[in-house]
Parts: sequence; structure tokens; C-alpha cells
Amino acid sequence: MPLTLKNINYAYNAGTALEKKVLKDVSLTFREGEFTAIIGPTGSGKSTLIQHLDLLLTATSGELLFNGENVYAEGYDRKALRSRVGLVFQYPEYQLFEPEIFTDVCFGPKNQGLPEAEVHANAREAMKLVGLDESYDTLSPFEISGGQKRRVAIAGVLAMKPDFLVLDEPAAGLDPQGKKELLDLIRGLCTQAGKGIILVSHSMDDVAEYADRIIVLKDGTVRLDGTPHEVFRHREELVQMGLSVPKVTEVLCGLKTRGFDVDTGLIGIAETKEEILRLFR
Amino acid sequence: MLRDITLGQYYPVGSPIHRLDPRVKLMGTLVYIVAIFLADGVWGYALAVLFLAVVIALSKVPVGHILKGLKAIFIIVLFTVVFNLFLTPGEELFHIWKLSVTKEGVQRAVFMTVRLVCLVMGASLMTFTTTPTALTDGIEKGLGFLKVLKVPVHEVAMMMSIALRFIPILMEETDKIMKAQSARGADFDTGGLVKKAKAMVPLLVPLFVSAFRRATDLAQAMEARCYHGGKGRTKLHPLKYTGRDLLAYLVIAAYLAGMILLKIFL
Repeated sequence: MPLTLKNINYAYNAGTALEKKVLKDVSLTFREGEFTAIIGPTGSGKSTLIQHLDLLLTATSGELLFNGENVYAEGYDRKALRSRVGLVFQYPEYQLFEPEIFTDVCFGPKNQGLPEAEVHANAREAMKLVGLDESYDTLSPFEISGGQKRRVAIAGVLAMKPDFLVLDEPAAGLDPQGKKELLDLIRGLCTQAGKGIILVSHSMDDVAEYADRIIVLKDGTVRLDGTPHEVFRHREELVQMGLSVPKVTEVLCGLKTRGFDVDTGLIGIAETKEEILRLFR
Repeated sequence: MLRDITLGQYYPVGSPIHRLDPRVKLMGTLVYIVAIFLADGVWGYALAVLFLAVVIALSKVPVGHILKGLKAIFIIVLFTVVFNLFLTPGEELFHIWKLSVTKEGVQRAVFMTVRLVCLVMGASLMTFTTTPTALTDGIEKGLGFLKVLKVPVHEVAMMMSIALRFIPILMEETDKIMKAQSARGADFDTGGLVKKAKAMVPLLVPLFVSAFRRATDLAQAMEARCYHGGKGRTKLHPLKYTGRDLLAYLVIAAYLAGMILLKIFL
């Protein structure tokens, strides 16, 4: 069930002196089972864009289609769409409020109006997906570590069984180990559970490693859209926008300017290693 | 959602009113508020409305934007109108059931509405045209003479500026948490009073936690930069009166005199 944006425009404070156009004619399609990363400099409209996917913001003009149906049409069950698209904000741990972790995870499915047994089953499954067992159930969200808090928050969204999971910089502020674990987990949700992942990130290395597709946003317009290999071939363009390419690609580019004949379109560590070793053969 | 609240938010346009010294605007607002209670006839209110209209025109803040801020006092105005309309004794115009509407009642209801609207618009005009920083600067400098009486003017001004500074931050935070909980299916708008109050828990708990966290962070940041109160502290932009401010004071004085004269002679 694809999620499609058609010519979406959005302005904050429309009609006042403070009006600010944030999205301009954005057209995109997201599919289930696909890991899409959205990158772009600060203020490019990434956060605004993902809030449209969950109907927290409504476009000034344009259409949002879920499974071919116009979500903005009158009579469309918007609450149902919120269950299909799960949104995890930046620092999601700040939304935890229940005294016990398990009850907090139950908040989402309970709001969906499911019977209690199903609420508990879904919450349990979500906690298992993020790697938290029963021993966490009765702990307070305020006495566990930052990385664990974030897992609890993500479980709280997963418990609603969404088809799409949208995450705004989920790894911000985590240590390298916690970050890797979290991104592996998100990758798993895509590959094994078949969810569509839409991830906003500032780390080129992360998106090169994990994403199937990268969308580059700048000043509210889509500048590039393709596989990581395709997108990171546009090094000049990305640098001009205030972005960069993965570190290994930088290394290859450095080698190229020093006269070595290497392919500067590589983005992974393994493939880069092979390419450099090839020089010695 | 919460961005719509306009009461007391700075409106960034350049105008003669924006450029006035904050002390002038504070004094002007104070005089305006006091003077409006002097009005007791059509002419008094007319002068007050005229004065406000001229200042609004000069300030370049769109009238629609200011009127939006009046939504907050709508209920109060409604109460005032209803009570004055029905409970003022005098010459009866007509009556509904057992309540009679009098000529004096209608007059008072209109005057009270004008007074309330002028009060709120006048006061919010000051915050529309003055940044919170300038405002607290103005208070600190304007009330500096109280230091002689051992009133901690600087500390009070600092607390005010921090409180004002935190309003938009907490508003944004509330907006963010509301969105995050809405994404989890929380419903803040429908249901009865009890259900609505219960729906606030997922909003208020994280909000309080974050407010305390921000307060601690700020206190530490201030200490790390050796903040020690107002003694010996200088300003980057010290307040200085210019000819424009003098002129504004004269206008304010003339307005006050006009209101007093109207009160005495009409």
C-alpha cells in the first residue's frame, strides 16, 4: 500500500508577515519494505515533510494518497491513517509519561480502541521487536538509560502495528554502539517485518550503509532521489548544499585527485577496500 | 496548533512605534490604561479609541492580527455585556421574561466593551512592538530608582525576561509533545470534561519533566558563565532617549491632559 505525495506545498503562518514557505511542489512515493532515507541541510523541510505523512500538518495545496485514496478528501478516516503510519519524533523519549514502561507502550494500541488482550499482545510484540524483555515491564521510564528509553518510545509507536515507520533522526545523541544497534533494528523491521521505513538523518555514512533509497531535500524541494550509489555520485552538488558524501567516498575522491585511477562512486567500506586493494595488484 | 496564540507575541515589522524606547512604551501603556478609566462619556471613549487607532496605524501591525488576540477575552466581554445589559437600573427600554433592559444598561454595556477591548489592545500593542528583551531592559532601567529602597530590580527584571523567554519555548515544546502523542493516537479535542482532563496527563507529565530539565540547564549555563546578578554589569545596547522619544512623551502627556479636561468639562 504505497503512500504518495502529489505536488505538496506548505507554508507556516500562511497569510501573515511571518509567512514562510517550507515545502514547494513535493511529489514522492513511499513503498512498504523499502528503506528510504531523507537527507538535507537544516531548514530544508525534512521535519515538516514527515509530519505531513502522519497528518499532523495538512498541506496548503496538493494531495496525499494512501493506497490510491486521497487522504485529504472529506470523510476519509484520518485516525485510521495515523495507525498505518507510525511517526517517531526526534528525542522520542521525551514523550514517555506513564509510571511503568509496559503501560506506556500500551498507550498507542489502547487509543486504537482494541480489546485489552490485543493491546497487551501488541505491546508485548513491539517490546520484543526492539529487544526489551518482560523484566523491563514495571520499571519507570525515568530510571533506564537513554538508548533504552528511545527503544521504549519506538516500541510505543510499533505497538500500533503501522505499515510505515517514520523516524526523525532516531540515533541522535546515542553512543556508537547504541546507534548501530538501533539502526540494525530499524533495518530488521524493514527486511524482516516488511515495514516501509522513512528515516531522516544527518549522517551520510549511516544512510549509505542502511538505506535502499535516498531523497535529498533542499529549500523545500526534492533535489535528488535514487539509490545511495546514484545519489552520492553527485558529490559537488551535495557539498554545495551543505551536505557531504560518506567518508570512504571522500577517501576515494582524495585518491583520484592524487592521480590514482579509482571509482569515486563507491560508498561502502567493503567495496572501497576492494577498490583500493585493486590498485596494489 | 498552538502557534495561533497571538496575545503578547512580538510582531517583527519596522515602524516608528517599534523604534521607540521601551520606557516610553511602558509609560505610554500605563498612562493609557489609567486614562481609559477617566473616560465617562462618549467623547472620552472616542478620544481613547482614536488615540489607539492612530498608534495602531503607526505601528504597522495588521489590525486583523491584533483582533485575533481578542479571542482570549471574548468570554469576559460577553459576561460584562450580559450583566450590564440586564442588571443596570434605570429607564426601561424593553424586557425579556423577568429581565429588563434599560437605556443606561445598553450604554454601560457598550462603554465597558470598548474599555475592555481598548485595554487589551493597548497592552498587547506594547508587546507586539517591543521584544521581550527590550521590555525587561526598559523595566530594569525605568524602575532603577527603586534600588535605593533595596528592591532587587535587576533580579526581578531577569526573572521576568527568563519567564517571557520561556513562553515560546514551552509553547513549542507543548506543540511537539502534543504532536508526538497524537501520532500515538491521543485525542485532545473530543470527549467530556473528565475525558479531556485525563487526556492532558500524557501532555503535562512530559512537559513538566522538560521544563525542569530546561530550568536546570539554564541555571548551570548561567553559573558556568559566572552570572552573579546585576552589580557592575553593563549592557551591549544601553537605552538612550532620542528626540523621537521626547516627542512621544509629549504626545502621551497631551493625551492624558485631554482625557482629564474631557472628564472635568464634559
